[in-house]
Amino acid sequence: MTERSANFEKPSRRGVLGAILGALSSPIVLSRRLFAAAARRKIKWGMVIDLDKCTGCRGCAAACRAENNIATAGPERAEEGRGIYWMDLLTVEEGEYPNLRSQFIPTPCNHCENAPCVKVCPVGATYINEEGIVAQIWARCIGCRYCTTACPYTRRYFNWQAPSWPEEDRQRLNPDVATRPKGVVEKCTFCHHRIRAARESARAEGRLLSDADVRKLPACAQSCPAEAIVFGDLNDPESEVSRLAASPRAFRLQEELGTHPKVVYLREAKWRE
Amino acid sequence: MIVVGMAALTSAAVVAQMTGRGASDVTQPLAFNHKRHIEEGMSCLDCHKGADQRAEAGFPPIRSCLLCHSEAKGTHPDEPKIREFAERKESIPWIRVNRMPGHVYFSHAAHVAYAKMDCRECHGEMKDRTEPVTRSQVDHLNMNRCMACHDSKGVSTDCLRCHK
Repeated sequence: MTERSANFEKPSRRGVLGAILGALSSPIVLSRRLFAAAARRKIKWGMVIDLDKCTGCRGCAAACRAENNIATAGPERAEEGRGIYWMDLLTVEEGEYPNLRSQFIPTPCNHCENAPCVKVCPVGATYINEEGIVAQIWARCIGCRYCTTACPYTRRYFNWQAPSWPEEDRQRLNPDVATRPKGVVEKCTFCHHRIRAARESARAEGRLLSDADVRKLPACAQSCPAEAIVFGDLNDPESEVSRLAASPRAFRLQEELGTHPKVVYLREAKWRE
Repeated sequence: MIVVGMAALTSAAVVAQMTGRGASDVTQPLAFNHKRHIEEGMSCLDCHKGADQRAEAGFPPIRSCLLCHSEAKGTHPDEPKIREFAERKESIPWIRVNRMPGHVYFSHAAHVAYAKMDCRECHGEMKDRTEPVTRSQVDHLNMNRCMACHDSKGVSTDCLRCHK
């Protein structure tokens, strides 16, 4: 490293003007300026889920479990309502036989802008980060479960028991995601570890994180065969999520609560609750 | 008094467990001498190639060692071992002396390539080190040190930046 930086910093024989022009056009300086410009625009991560495309295959839920090391509660515990599903799939049936219709609703955390869970946490274990992700700090959580009660979408899960996995899954735990101990609340993180990795590889190539990099970034979006889930920056007017969120088909769950979810659903006829 | 003493002991045990400090020390398969290699004009990135590209700095593959050591070089008794490993088509079984806790993400690339930090800011003067680093000698970073540097350089201190 010392050798490389020494070469880089060797004084140039070119004139001052040449040096400035050279510095301006050098990829390092240029990319720094790009990063500075990007830093000025605040990112707001959001997700769009097209319910008209969703086939209810549960691929998103399975991918989420594998990606985020979600512990298996076992059939009895799951029956008691103690299973953990960062991404769940709700099924709502409409109509009467023979005109029966099922509506599938994939349900990650809504990452509300006005998040009730954040307001009630007595220890600051949950907060909205600078890019709009409602984060949970496992180590800081005292397990009071105020947040699981406050969340109107029931997207927060308490670890009622020490995490366990079938042996073959234990061998495949994802090293990029920490496992959670008994007694803390956990939830969807919008796969923030994938965002971090994508940002780093984009930087390594001397460019910014683009919409194409993140569109299918979370495990749920990547695994969706119907391409019903799209992820991106809601503050970027050019992004796919912004475009879709502006669709007349767009709505958010329980909008009347004023929670301002950043997960936007699309459906031809607005969902009747 | 006894309670305080017990609390101190317990916390020391917890810290030891979390950081690996106090863990039994290791004997590496070869008595690698950093000083000798640096004196030959090698840089950190010559062997730890991931340091400016990936999260992990990494160990060099044995073929990198063989670039110089395919034939006898020097007089150290451990030196022929490199070729013995190579003949058996084995890699050198280096023993890792430090491991980040499971809830921490640390990227060498972010610190070396983008923040332009010098390796010695965390790793000390490897150019003076003649013996392999042992577990007790590892300069364990704690979060206060991370935060102090991030604060002073105006880098984000958002939890998600470094925690999993």
